[in-house]
Amino acid sequence: MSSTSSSQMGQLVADKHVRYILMAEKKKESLESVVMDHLRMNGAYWGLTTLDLLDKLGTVSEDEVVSWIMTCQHESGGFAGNTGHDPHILYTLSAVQILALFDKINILDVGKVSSYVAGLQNEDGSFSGDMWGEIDTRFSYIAICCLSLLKCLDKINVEKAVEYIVSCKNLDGGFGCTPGAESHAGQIFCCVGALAITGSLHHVDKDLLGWWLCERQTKTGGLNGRPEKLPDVCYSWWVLSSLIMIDRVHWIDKAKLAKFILDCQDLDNGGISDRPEDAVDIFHTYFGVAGLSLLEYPGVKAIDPAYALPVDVINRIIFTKNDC
Amino acid sequence: MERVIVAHICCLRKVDPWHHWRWVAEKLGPEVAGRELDCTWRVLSLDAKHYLAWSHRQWALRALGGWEDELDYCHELLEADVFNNSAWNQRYYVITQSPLLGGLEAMRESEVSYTIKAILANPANESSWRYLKGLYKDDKESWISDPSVSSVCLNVLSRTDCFHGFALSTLLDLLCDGLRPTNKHRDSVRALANEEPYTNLANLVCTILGRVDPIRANYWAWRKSKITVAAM
Repeated sequence: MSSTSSSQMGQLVADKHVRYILMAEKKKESLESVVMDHLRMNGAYWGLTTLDLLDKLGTVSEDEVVSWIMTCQHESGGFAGNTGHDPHILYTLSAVQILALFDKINILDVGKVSSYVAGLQNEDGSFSGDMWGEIDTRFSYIAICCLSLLKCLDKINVEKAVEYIVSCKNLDGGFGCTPGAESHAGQIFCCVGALAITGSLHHVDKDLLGWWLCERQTKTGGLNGRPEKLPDVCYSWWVLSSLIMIDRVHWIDKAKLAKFILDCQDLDNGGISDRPEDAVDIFHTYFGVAGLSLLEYPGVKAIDPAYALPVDVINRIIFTKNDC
Repeated sequence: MERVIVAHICCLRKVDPWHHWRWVAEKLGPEVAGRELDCTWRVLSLDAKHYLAWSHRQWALRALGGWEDELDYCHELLEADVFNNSAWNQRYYVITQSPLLGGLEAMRESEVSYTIKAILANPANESSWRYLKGLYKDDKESWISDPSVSSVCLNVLSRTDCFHGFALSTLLDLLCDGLRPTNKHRDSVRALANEEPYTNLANLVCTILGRVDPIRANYWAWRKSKITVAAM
């Protein structure tokens, strides 16, 4: 259970969060760990990125993590959520992102991984998550982000990919998972992120979307993901990064948001929850710290709003030559 | 039976089952439309805003049909919770996509009437105000000239028992889109002013919004800076 701070702005108990993440990694037999077993790759990305943002990536064994990641690679080139599971675009991005954190993208057969991802593009420009064909704009973002990190964006039809994303734009300026689907902050992050990476932000009505996004801020200071839903720390990432990418972040009350995130901390045991007084988990710990990074909270490294990786990691990739 | 098997496989594979159900249903054809709609109905009866269920329902209508009762279904959900943004979104989806209705323009009058009723019952409902504006997509002229739009704003502003933010922002949009304000508009807004100076109506609306919706003060200040001569 998380405890609330006083009415003043609380503090980020960074050391406690580091300890929480490292302990969670060790508790492989815990119920939470067993249930999350199939998406361990996502969990690893959330935990490790948080550690890097708090400048504590050195506390984990790079070799152990990297060798485990490689056991998750399928013969198709894609990565699974854990050893022995099926590959999916979701885990493939997380794998590449984790390797980026450790500056180990060079151990990949980049051609193979990028071909797996590029092979998931459909004729209408959309992307499927895996061989079973589910389509969702989340997968458009994942593919574009992943291929951009691997410097293989030219392996896909970028124009068609953008066209499909734009077809998911709604009247309120937001985006859904498929054409006609309700605008949702998570989907908006994916679409805006993909458009940002491909240099296509001119398709976004920034004023209109900016207003929809800033309307997500509730009286508590926290952000929700859709009208009339409860605030949740994870939207501190999805809404905030979207606002930053369209240059409208000054439309929310940043101080109130920071206080909301800090109030979601478990000040005794570390970790961050979805809202004050709820149980903590790795997912919300990552999004809370990432949100504070976007708010330029002292002691947290800067994070790139489109790639969801520390800025110094992205800079390193930009300045590294890579053969696709 | 297929659904049980698919659910079991998805559980074993630890994947989300919605897409697999679509895969099976597509093989079985339009006869299963009712069944797919029924399935999402069950999920939505537990969580009326379940994002994946709504996505599946939209797919089912598009691929297999069954549009006949959809508008009534949206109404049922909105009766239970008028703040259900997913249901408002689905309503918009139906009136624009259903092959059985006449399209947005044909449905506009009845939908405006429906929405205004919902707004007057709950003026602090972001979804209903957005839906109202959406009914005038690409038709700014009708949006600013339809008297019912302007009068729902005035109606809400004259009440003392509710949040005025959405009525004010809608009036602001109307003014910026070319609505010529009447004395009724000016008096309504001035009645809400706290000794704030009157320079022009749109400007005053922004000032009041900065006060009644302070968490978005920066946004309303920006809107104020964008007011052109036409909106005065």
